[in-house]
Parts: sequence; structure tokens; C-alpha cells
Amino acid sequence: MFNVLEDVITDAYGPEAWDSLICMAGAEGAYSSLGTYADTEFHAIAHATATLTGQETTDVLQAFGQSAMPIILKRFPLFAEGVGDARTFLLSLNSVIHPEIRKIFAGAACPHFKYAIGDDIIQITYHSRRRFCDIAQGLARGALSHFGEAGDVSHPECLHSGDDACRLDIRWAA
Amino acid sequence: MNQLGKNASWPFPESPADERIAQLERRLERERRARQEAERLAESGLRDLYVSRARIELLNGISVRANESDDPLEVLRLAVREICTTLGFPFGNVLVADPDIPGAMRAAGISFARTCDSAQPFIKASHEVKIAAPADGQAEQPVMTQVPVWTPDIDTLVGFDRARLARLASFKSMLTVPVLSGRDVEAVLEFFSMDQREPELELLDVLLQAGLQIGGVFRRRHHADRLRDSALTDPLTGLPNRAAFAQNIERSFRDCRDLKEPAPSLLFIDLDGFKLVNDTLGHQAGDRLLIDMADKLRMLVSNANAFEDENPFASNVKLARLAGDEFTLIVDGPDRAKLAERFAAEIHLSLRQPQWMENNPVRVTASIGVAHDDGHYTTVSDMLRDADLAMYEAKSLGSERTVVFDQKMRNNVQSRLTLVNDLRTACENGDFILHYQPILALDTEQLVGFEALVRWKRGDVIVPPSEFIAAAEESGVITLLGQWVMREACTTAVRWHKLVPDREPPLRISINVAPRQFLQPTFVQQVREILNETGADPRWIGIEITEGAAITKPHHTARVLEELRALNIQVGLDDFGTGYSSLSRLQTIPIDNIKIDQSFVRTQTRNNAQWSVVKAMLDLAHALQLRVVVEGLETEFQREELTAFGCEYGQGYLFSKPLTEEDAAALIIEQPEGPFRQMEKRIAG
Repeated sequence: MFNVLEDVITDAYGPEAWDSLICMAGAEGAYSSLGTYADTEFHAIAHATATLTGQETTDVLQAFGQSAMPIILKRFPLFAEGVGDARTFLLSLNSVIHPEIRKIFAGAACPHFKYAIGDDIIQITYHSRRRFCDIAQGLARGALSHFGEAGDVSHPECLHSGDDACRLDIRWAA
Repeated sequence: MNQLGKNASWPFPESPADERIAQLERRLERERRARQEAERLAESGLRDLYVSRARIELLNGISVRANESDDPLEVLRLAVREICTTLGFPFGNVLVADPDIPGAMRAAGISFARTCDSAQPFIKASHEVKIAAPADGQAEQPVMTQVPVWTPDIDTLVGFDRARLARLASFKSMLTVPVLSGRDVEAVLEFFSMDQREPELELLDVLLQAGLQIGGVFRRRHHADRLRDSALTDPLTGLPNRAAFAQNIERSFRDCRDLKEPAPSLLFIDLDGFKLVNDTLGHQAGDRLLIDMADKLRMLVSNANAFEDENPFASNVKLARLAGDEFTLIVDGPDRAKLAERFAAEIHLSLRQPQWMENNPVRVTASIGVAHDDGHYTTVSDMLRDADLAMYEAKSLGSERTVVFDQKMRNNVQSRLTLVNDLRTACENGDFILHYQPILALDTEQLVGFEALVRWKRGDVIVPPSEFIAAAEESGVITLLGQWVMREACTTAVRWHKLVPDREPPLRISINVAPRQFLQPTFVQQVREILNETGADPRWIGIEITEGAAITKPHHTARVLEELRALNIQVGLDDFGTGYSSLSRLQTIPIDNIKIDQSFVRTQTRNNAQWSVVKAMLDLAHALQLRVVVEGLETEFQREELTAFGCEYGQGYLFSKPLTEEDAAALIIEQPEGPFRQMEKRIAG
């Protein structure tokens, strides 16, 4: 996650920006893809980014998720191998992508998604204890973009706004 | 030339600051790429390690359970769950080979699912799926193959009935794993997924191995089933054997008692002429006869459906072969009694037609004993005993008879049991007495000895041997009784010897020994001990065995008789002419005398005498230097004739009935003074 964030920031603002954000967030800074780091550091960097760019943290996280998707799929092509559309990709999170993540990162805390499936909509419900639901929303948007599909991803219910769970609605344009 | 080393000087001039920054940035970028490359390598290595370890653990888990378990379905349940969770399949289902249709498969009712609601119709259909055996020329379904098959797109499958429901569940691909026992597909695990990535060959190989391991459980189960079947099957006729019969009847009896219902009726069937077939046409013919009999009974049982309108449970009949020519039927159902007797009648009828064996028409008949449960039985063995008794009763009435065990037979059994118990007590208490019938030399009418005859003092009644010897022999009490008789006879012999100590040759008491007693391995030892205890001289007693005992174990008999004779005890063959021994067999039995059975003498009268058989016996005995005693002498005519033929000794009412010990003692004292009959009259007078 930290590595992907580094790539996203570096691509957008250059390597100095990443250095500045780490300093500003008071974070450790030396991240290896195989290491495990505190979620608080991630949120601190996101918060610093929001402060520096004058955006809401939520928007930063969503933007991060959306930009992260192509980077993730380039780095882990197995996640979408043989998959030709966003619907299949999103439905394979529990059965393909999370198992793949666990193969590489032992002990990775992946959530379990519940699906409700309609003709032009998928509702994904889960408990985002790590407050990454905004990133998930951005990732879903990134998935639509990756497969060149038009649609909208909303986040009508959130655990952190007092709801029972987080819900993402992915609705395809008619 | 400068060397690269510790103190080597840098040959290039210092670059300006901007240049230096750019250089550092390029170096940083190189470092970053190197780090990303290293991370990628590490990630790939970790993934491979994870995958291979997971596969090893998967295969190991299934193998361990497969090796421990004898229940294939239990192992399949574990396997489908483990494969789904390890490999990330949202749904796995198990099909097993249909036992009734070769090549067909049906759902085993075992599955594992972690899916959304829209997959429920597919799961339900998978629980009920049946796949027919492929017709000729028809493409095989993936479930029929001998190797794991991956189908990336279910929609391309021909004849896959669940395709529509699979689409609804968003399942796109299918992986089937066969469970093989040899070349037989015992079961198939089918896994469904949205994932259309082709599985690696190594994974398919792991699943093939898992399938083979589970196949081993099926193989062991089949093997155990075959062993159990063969332990419960009669190899000659293929019918259930005695063990199977015992299991069946005990289970039925127990179930019926639990439900407070009458137990099934029992038929014991015994062939009447079977021994003759075996003896005359050989064992192969005997075996064929038994196989034919089994087929006839099988046919009757299956035809029972023909009269099923009278009894809807007619098919609830179990057939078995107990041993040799004994068969049984267990007949259950509401009309069991009527049905059982109907079966008996049908069996007799089916045996009417002679069978042809090696160009000989062979006709066997059956004796059938039937026992019905009237609620009276507390144990199944009582019921078996009664069916058996009824069968013996049927046999005693002649061939082709059926006897149903009834109250009268039960009473007989009861009184026989009481008789045996009382006999046992009588043996312990010595409630017997011996009577002695004189044996005389026919020519001189001189007393030579006595035959000891046992009587039972049952309360105030003196019971003759005809009423208890058979029961004593059957129950084994005879060996105790026989020892009592011998001891008592020896004691008497000692007392009598004291009356006439100088008599030469000494008087001899003949003692009858039953086959069961004689065949005891310790018999000679017992005789020796009794002689020692009582102080009797072996010349004072004689031992008589029946022909039956002599031929049951000829070698044992010869040895025992030789040992007795070595002790100086005379041995004789009793009831000669009534048993089984051919005259020629006489010369192989080491004896001193034979006693011609009274049936050969009683019927001879002055007006109507047929002595030819008796004369032949006498000639043979004399040729073998055996002395002959006749029993049952009743008339002067018989004595004269037999004396003329050269018969040495006789006993019977002509001379004297059996006497008490005191009367016999009186005779002995009087005897030296004259011919026997005058003495007896004097005593009687």
C-alpha cells in the first residue's frame, strides 16, 4: 500500500513531494513492499497530502484508490488475468484477488465482501475497520476506468458515519 | 595506468553543483528501480512458496484422512471443503457412481459453498444432479474422465444442464477431479468459480493425487464389503450361510420383541435322500443336488410375489443354507404362519419331479419343521430348537412331511428336560439298582454268569431302562450312569466271589457300555481305577459294546478292546445283527464273543422256524473262534435247536427273568447241586 502510494504521489508531483509528505507526516519513510507498517502512518501521509493540496482527506483517499488501480494491475497482473470486464473483476475480490494477496503477503488483513447483484448494479457491503472504504471506492472507479466502462461508484453507507457497515454501489451507465 | 584501489585518485574533474544534483537524482531513480525489482522477485518467491506449501498441506491433509478412514463419504466431505478453502473455489460439489446404473453418476449430497444468494438455485440443482452414462458416440462429460479437467467457460459445455443456473450464480469455469479406484471412477469432485485463469499443471497433478488417495478408501471399503459378504455367504449355493441366518433371525427376533410383535416364523428344511445320493453318486452329484435345491428355493421365494395378493409382505422371506442338506426360511409379515406353511407345501411340490444326475433319475424329498412364535419364546435359540425338533419329528414320520411345532411337542420337550435333570440328580444320589439275568451254557444248563441290567428307583417306582437310557445317552448323563453301573457290578462280583471262592471258571458279570462312554479317551483308565477300587478280578467281568460304538471309530475301538483284553477282561459285541456291521467286519474287531440279538430268536416257533440267518452267524462266529450267546430264549424248542447248531450260551425267560442281587446270590449258592432250572424253581418255591 505504501509503495503504491509512493508511486502515485511521485507520478503526480515528483519525488520531492513524497519526501516532503513523509517529513510533514512525521512518518518513518523507509517502506518495503513486504513490510508491515502502522495504518496511522498511512492516514498521516494522506492527511498531509490533503493539507498541502487543499483537499478533503476523503477525496485524497478516493483519488489515491482510483490512481492506484492501474499501478496495482501492472504490478500484479494475475489479479485480472483472463478477466474482461469490471463486473467479473469486482466479483472476484473474495475468491481470486484476496487469496492472491494472502499468497504474497502472509497475514494480510483482507476484508470479506458481501455482494448483492443486479443487472446494472453491484452492491458491495463490508466492514472497513481500517477506514479504507474511501480507497475502496476509488479502487472501484479505477476498475471501471481500467476496463473502459462508464459508471458511477457511490458510498451511501459508511461504518464511520454510524451505519452498520460500509456499502459501495457500483452502477453502470445505461 | 591507475589501479582501482584504496588510494587510487579519481581521474575526472569535479562537476558543477547542478550536474551533481542531476547525477544524484539518476542514482536515486536507479536505486528505486533496483528496490522495486528486488521486491518483485521476493513477492514472486513468496507467492510460489505459499502456493506450493498450501498444495502440500492440502494433499497431506486429504491423504492422512484417506489413510485413516474407512468411510469414503466422510473423506469426500473433508476434501471438498479443504480444496474450496485452500484454492478459493466458492462452490464444490460431490458426485458418486450410481450403484444401479454403470457409468452414471449422481449427487452424493456433499458440497461446500461460500457464495451469494444468487448461487442458491445452482447449489440446489447440484445437490440433485444425475448424469446418465454416455451413450455410444456421445461426447464424455468432464465428470466421466480419468484426469482432472478444467473448463474455462461453462457455456461451451455440451449437455451441461445446469448452465443457466451457473450463469445466474456468475460461475464461469468448472474444474472436475475424478476419484479413481483402478480404472473405475468412484466419485467426482466438481468445483465452480468466476475465475477463468487456467490452473497450473502442478495444481491439476496435486488434485489428481488427492483423487487417487480418496479412491484408496473406496477400494478398501469394497474389499471389506466383499470380505463381509463372503463371510456371510455359502460358497456352494451362494445363499446366505449359517452366520448370516443367525444375524438375521437374532435381529428380527430382537426387533419384534422391542415392538411387542410376534417374531417371524421359521422353517427348517432337511433333505431326506441326500446321504444316499452322496454315497452312491459321489460328492459332486451331492453338491449339484444342493445347488439345484438352492435354486428351487430361490425360485419359490421370488415366486412368492405371485401370491402376494394374499400377503403383501410375501417378499419378506429370507433364505439360508445352514449346513450340509439343511436349509432355512425366515418368513415375516402379518400372515407369516399361513405363509410359512404354504411355503412348506410348495417346497414338497417342487421336489416331486426327479432330477437327472449322470443319467440316473434322482428323487429327493424334504422333511420340514416349522416353528411359529406365539409370544411364548423368550430367546431365539428356543425357537430354533423347536423348529429343529419339529423337523426331526417330520423325519421320523417318514419322508415328505411337514410338522409344525405344537403344545404337545413342547410338553414332550419339557418332560424330556425334566427327565434329564432328574437323571442327573439320580446319578449324583446313586438312585439306581442293578438286576442280573443269568447266562447259561446251553448244553449243560450250568450257570456261567449274569448280564447286569440297570433300573432307576424314581421315588417308589422302578423305571425300566427303555424309558430313560435314550435320554441319558442324548444328554450325556450316560457316562456318569455307566461309571456307576460298572462300579456297582464290580462290587457285586467281589461279593459273589466270596460266596463261591473256588469256583472255576469264575462267574462273569457282563456289563453294557454305551457308545458315548466307550468312546471316551479315558475309558480304559476308568475301568482300571474301578477294578482297583473294588478289588474285582478282571476275569469276573465282561464288557459288551454295541455295533454302533464299534464302527463309529474303528481304530479307537480296536485299540481299546485290545487294552481291555490285555487286562484279562472278556469283550463282546452286543445286539449283533441289528446294527451296521457287515459280517466281514467282525474279523477286524478284537472280541471274544458275540451276542445274537433277541429279535432273531423270539420269532422262531416249532411250526415256523427260519434259522438260516442265525446259522450263518453261528458259522461265521465259530470260524472266527468267537463264542456265541443268544438272548431272548423263551421256549424249549429254541433251546434244543440252538444247542443242536452248536450255540454255546443263552439267556432269557426260559431260564430266568433278571433277578435282584439277593435272588441272584441265592442261585449262585444253590447252583453247584444241579441243573439250573430245578434250582430256580426251588428258589421261587
